[in-house]
Amino acid sequence: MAEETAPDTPEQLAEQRQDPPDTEFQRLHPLTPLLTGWQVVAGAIAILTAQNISELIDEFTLTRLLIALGILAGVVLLFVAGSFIRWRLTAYAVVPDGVFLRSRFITTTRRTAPRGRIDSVSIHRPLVPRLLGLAKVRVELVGGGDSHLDLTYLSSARAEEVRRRILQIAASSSDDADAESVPELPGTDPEEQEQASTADRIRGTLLDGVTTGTLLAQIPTQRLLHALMRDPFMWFVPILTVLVAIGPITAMVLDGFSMRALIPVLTAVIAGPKLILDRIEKGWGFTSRSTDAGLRARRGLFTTRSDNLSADRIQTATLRQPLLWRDPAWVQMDVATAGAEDDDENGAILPVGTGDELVRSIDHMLAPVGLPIPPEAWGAGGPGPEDVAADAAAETSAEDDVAMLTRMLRVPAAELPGIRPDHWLFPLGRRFTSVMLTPHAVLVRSGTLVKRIRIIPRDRIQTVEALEGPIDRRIGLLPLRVTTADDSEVLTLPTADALRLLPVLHNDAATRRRLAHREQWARPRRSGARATVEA
Amino acid sequence: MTRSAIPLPGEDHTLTPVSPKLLAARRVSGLIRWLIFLGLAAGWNVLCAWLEWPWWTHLFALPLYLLVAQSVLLLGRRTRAIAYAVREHDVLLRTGIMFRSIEAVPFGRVQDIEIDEGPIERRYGLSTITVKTAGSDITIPGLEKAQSEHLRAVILREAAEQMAAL
Repeated sequence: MAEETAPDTPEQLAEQRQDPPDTEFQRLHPLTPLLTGWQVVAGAIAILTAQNISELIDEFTLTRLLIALGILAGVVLLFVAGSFIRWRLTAYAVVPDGVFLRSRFITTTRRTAPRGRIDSVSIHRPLVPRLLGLAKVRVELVGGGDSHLDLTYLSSARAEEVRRRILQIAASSSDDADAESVPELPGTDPEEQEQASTADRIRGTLLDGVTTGTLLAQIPTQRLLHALMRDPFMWFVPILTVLVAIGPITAMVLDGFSMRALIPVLTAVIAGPKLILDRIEKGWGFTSRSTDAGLRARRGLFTTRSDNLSADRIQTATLRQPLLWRDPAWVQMDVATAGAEDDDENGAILPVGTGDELVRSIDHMLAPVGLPIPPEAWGAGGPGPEDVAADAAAETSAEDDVAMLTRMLRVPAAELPGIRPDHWLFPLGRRFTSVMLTPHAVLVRSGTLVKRIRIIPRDRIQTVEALEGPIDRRIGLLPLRVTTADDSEVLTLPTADALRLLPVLHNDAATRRRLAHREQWARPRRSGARATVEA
Repeated sequence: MTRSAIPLPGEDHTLTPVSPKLLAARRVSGLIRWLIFLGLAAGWNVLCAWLEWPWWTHLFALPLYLLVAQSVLLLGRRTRAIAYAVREHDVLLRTGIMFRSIEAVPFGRVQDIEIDEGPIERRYGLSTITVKTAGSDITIPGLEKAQSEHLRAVILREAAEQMAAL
């Protein structure tokens, strides 16, 4: 930076940084230091004990225990004191320009979420903070990588308030908006909420505030548990746990008890159920609603979270159906957003849904899929971006899409209107895998015990690569790797079909999501925001 | 061999091969790598002989020799197989002889362009351009300086014009 612009006074410096005034800054909840300090210590103890447990048990005496407890108390105190100072020096501000978080503990850090880059806000309530009535607000930013800003922790009510405020700020598009001109979103007026009856308020607390907007899905616990019992994943985890535990246990029976041998058993016994618990957490009390700010979903048994997800962010979607879910016609729908490193963010927007719930979710969150184009006609590729609007009248409804997709989950690949790698080198693939093209998406059906359909919207394709190894060349295949901002998928296709599809996909990647043609982009049939505009 | 769906640079006039100087540059940088690997492998053999380990311990060096051998033998073919094309909506990069690939990066999806010049490349007046998207990246090596600057300018211009959302 040039010398002459260097500021002289702290005020000028603050001005140049465009920081909000100090009066706007607020501290996080006073219980924060207790929680964060405690976590660090607990983690350290867990690691130390796990590594040295056998020595500890062998050399156990009361004096040693007391000394250890004394040291522990000292360390806890130290950490809590440290966290307390950090808490004193940390403050956040939610202003029309965005969200600011600054900390002056040892090093000064300032994190900013500029209004234009705020993408969504979620509220996480881990178990212990939740019992204390605290919550973490996570501001998701546009762009991949480490793109979120956490406010840990705020009181639950404050967290809701902050979430609404941030969403309001993000929704206001004018560049010089000040606090007064930020439009109030309908149904989010705090007064309105206060007038709500006690019953409503209890309901609101139970559902973590996910009570406004169109209900998309609400999963009863019974269905969730029932569905998990029917999922092969749930059988493999206990089997694996037993397999891991069996070796050390036999060793212990034969050689006598030893602490060292117990550790892998303990790990397996803890890790196995944790995998299952994670699945339960993901679906427990799941409720999703379509609001002005996109999908709002709440889930969790011990640790709860409520997320916001705008349809615009969804890169790809995956439908998943274990074999035993067929009868009740349950389907899981996962979506992936850009910057997939953060696995937390990608999740089931429908952990186990009925047909109706799937219809509603697809209606609000996904652009129309449309009917499959017969492979012979792939060269034409269906309507281009300029024809999409014209074809809107002839579009399928969400019910049609879901009927088609659920059928695709059931039938053998040979009966699907797509192309499969029909060669003995793909004994499973030729029977279960199929690549289909619709006016709006590339569909890849795969899986044996658990059937999957990957929905890759054609406008989200970033790059396309044709790769051909010596074996592919010999048996006449040309695999295409389709990359989106989230992940890549290899379509194994016969050369002739791949060559027909390739220029179509090249064209899709290049032209379908141009900013210049914003109004022609494929969008969900119904989204909360647009519905309000029309109303 | 069966006809391939992905043409070699000579078979398709629309593809521009990279500079022939790249082969010379790669031979120089390859030489250093080959010598290190050969040194390691030979060192292992000497060690085995010196410590009088059984004969089959010598075989552990074999993968290294094979690695160097295929690299020496195929370097020319591999380098000559690299070609690119600038089309209306995208940049194409083709690589490989056995494992052929042709990747298209649409201008509208470009997030970032990088031009690199290593010390050896610089001596030959070459540079490498990397075009990044939110999905995958392509790297075109062996471009003459003027060529890479021109390519960068074209991609930047088209990227601004055809810009697409994620």
